[in-house]
Amino acid sequence: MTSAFPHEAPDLSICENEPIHIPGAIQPHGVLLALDEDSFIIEMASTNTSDLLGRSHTAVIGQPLASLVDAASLQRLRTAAAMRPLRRANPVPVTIAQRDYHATLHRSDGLLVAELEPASSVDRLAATGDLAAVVDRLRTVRALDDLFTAMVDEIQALSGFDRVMIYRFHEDLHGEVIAEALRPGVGNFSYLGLHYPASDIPAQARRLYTLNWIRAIPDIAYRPCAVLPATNPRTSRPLDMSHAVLRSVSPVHLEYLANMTVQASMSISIVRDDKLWGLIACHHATPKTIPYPIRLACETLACTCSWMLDSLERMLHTARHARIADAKLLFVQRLSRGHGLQDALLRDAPNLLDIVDTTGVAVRFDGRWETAGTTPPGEALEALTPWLEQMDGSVLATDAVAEHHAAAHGWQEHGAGVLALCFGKKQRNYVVWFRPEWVHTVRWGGNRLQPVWQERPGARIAPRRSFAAWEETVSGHSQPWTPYDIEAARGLLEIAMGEEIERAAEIAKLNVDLATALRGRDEFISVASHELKTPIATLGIQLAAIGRMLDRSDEAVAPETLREKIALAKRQIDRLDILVGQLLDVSQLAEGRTRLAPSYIDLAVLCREVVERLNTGAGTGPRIALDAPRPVRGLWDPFRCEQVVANLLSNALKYSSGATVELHVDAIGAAARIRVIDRGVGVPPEAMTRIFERFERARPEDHIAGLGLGLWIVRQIVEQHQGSVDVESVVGQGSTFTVTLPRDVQGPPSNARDAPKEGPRHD
Amino acid sequence: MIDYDVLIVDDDDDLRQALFEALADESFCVAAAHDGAEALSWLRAGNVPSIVLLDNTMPGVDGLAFRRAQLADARLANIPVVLMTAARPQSVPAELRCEPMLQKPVQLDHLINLVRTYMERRGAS
Repeated sequence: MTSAFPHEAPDLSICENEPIHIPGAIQPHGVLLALDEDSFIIEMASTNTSDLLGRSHTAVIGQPLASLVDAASLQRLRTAAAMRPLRRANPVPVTIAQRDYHATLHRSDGLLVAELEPASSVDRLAATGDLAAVVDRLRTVRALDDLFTAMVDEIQALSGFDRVMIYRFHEDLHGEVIAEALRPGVGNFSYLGLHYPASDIPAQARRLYTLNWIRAIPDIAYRPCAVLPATNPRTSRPLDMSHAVLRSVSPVHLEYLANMTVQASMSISIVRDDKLWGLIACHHATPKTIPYPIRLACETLACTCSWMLDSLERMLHTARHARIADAKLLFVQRLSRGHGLQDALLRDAPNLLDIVDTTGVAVRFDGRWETAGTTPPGEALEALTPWLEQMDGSVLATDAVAEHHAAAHGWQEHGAGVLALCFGKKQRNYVVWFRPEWVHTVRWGGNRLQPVWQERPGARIAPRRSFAAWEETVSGHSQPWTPYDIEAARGLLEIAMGEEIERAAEIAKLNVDLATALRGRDEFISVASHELKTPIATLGIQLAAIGRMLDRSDEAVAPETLREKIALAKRQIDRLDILVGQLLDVSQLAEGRTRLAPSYIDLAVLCREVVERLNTGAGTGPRIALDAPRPVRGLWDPFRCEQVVANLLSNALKYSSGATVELHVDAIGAAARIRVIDRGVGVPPEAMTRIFERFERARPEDHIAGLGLGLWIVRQIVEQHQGSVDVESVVGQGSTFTVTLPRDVQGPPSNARDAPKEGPRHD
Repeated sequence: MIDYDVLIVDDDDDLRQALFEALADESFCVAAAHDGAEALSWLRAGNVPSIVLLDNTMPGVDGLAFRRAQLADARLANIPVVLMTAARPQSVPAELRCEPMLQKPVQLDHLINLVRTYMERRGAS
């Protein structure tokens, strides 16, 4: 993620490495004693013991604490030292030479460290009453901005500092003043909105601030007071003062404060998830003592702030999470109702614009872009695709897309920031959210002694008046994407991908189906052309032969011979007629264009006529035996029924290997039953459903004449009559095809007048 | 060994009959088989035609199978075979191709000339 802010200055490497936790000195407003935990013998002491305690440090080191404090204080200290955790015991009231002190205890490097600060009468004032009122105020806070404002106001009122700020760390560790409270009458220069480079608070300071949450400097002009001996006898290193209240601070920091005309300061850490989120920074123009209870109250408030920050953010997060969950649920519902993916995600509210806070969003699916809100134009979107393809992982976020994709310069007002989600890498399916360019000015404060600011793309730096503030105009960037935005985008992945996977599977299946259908059709075409060309060939030969016969002048043409030849020729026409008829039927039946024309007919009569026709034409082939003892009357389409019977019979004849074919017609209850039985080659079990498909043969290698459509046509017609057709077969023995047709007769047949015998129509 | 002029191999009864009679009317000595198996056994029985008119698609031993068997048999390999096919020449598999190939529907005049040519060739050799 690109940052709009300057690099850290190389110059401050000194500051980075300065060991601020072992300064070897303290601020002189208190006294530091380091004791052996068991004997309470003083092993290290600050040199200002004479000022505050009346004894020189040399006189104190090596002595038991009992020699300094009264018995009651000693007892309190011992009790405190036994507390777990130790900090609960602080502060411990201690009396030395009739003066009262607050003692703050902590452990360091094997020693018990006691820091004594003079108590004042002010301390007796219970800050607790105020604190209760503050907590009440905080309880009503519902928005983050209100929390920050309340925090600085209350701490300012409690502490009396001239200026109290909340200083927040950005991702790249530079800071920004996001809230400020001024003591009334203090003047009107505001630090609010100023940014400070990360180097202003170097790494080891940040580390310390995470360990020790409060530090105060009552007077920056203090003279540091050494702690002796310089090295801890136990560790041979200087005493680690990370947790010391009186720790002397880095001179660089003091100079920094002086540059800001700050004479006293206090800062309290706001820690979240063990990381330094920000600081409450307090400044005062003149030296200021901060009594212990006030410090404690402020520290408590800062803690409260941390917790409230957490819970407020979680609350907002939960609310947002719920909204997003609702939107996602709706997407899924739309998808299940058959909406296309892009439709489901973009068309009506709530849509993708409710998942991530933006003004425009585009979805690429199936090679097409669809958008909602304000987005770059179509060609620009497609031009973006090659860059999107380079995405590592599923999500890509940038607040300055033009830095990665030059063409984006042209549409920055719509989308300087891009958050992209890839939910189908091969298909190049993406969701892309756009944030418009956010041209804004960043005001920089900070140490004037600092570095040269490097020019970056999009930044124009100009000094502003006389104060240590520089203005930087940032363009080409959008408002940055938060981790919440990215999480929300990612959350969409399962829905989109689910759809993607389903779609891919669908397409794969369609491809397979298509390939199969094409193969079938191609095979059919080659079979059909053979079937049609053969009778045409015969016709051609026959007519040519007749012509040659007539041309031969040496013999007279016998009329009988001529008649036979003509009959053979005519038979081919009939064959062609049937084949072409089948082809037309197939195309009409397949498109559902046929409509039944039912009339009241007798199936037995119909079958008799079909059998007669087929038997006369068969010549020496197998014959058909008809078994239809009784009339079978019902409401059926006679033309179509004739087709069914004829197709079944010619099928049986083809495969019958010479044996007689049987046709049985009877009535079974409310239905008519037609059975065609042959003793032919039979149908293998795996082919039994297949043979009723178009273009199918039970054994395609057989090269049996015909288009392979007959049984399919039978099935279509039978199903149109709401009937059924089945086959039973044993390979090598024969097959029985059974057609069942519901009768659809109104009233019992015996009461009806003799219905007219309707034969099949001949066109 | 009985000499014939033409052997017709085709499963379609009507086409076989038409070809048989048309060629017989031209005074050729004609025989006919309804599939490759029948044709092979007829040839192996010692009958030798000047030319075989072979249909491609037949049940049982089809044109391709007949051709393979014929070419594998030294006694039969040299018998001239003309393929009659409804398909386009390019789609006929290479091992099946013979010169010439006839596309259905075949012209009777052309067929008669073809038979005469092969009879003369045989007469010459």
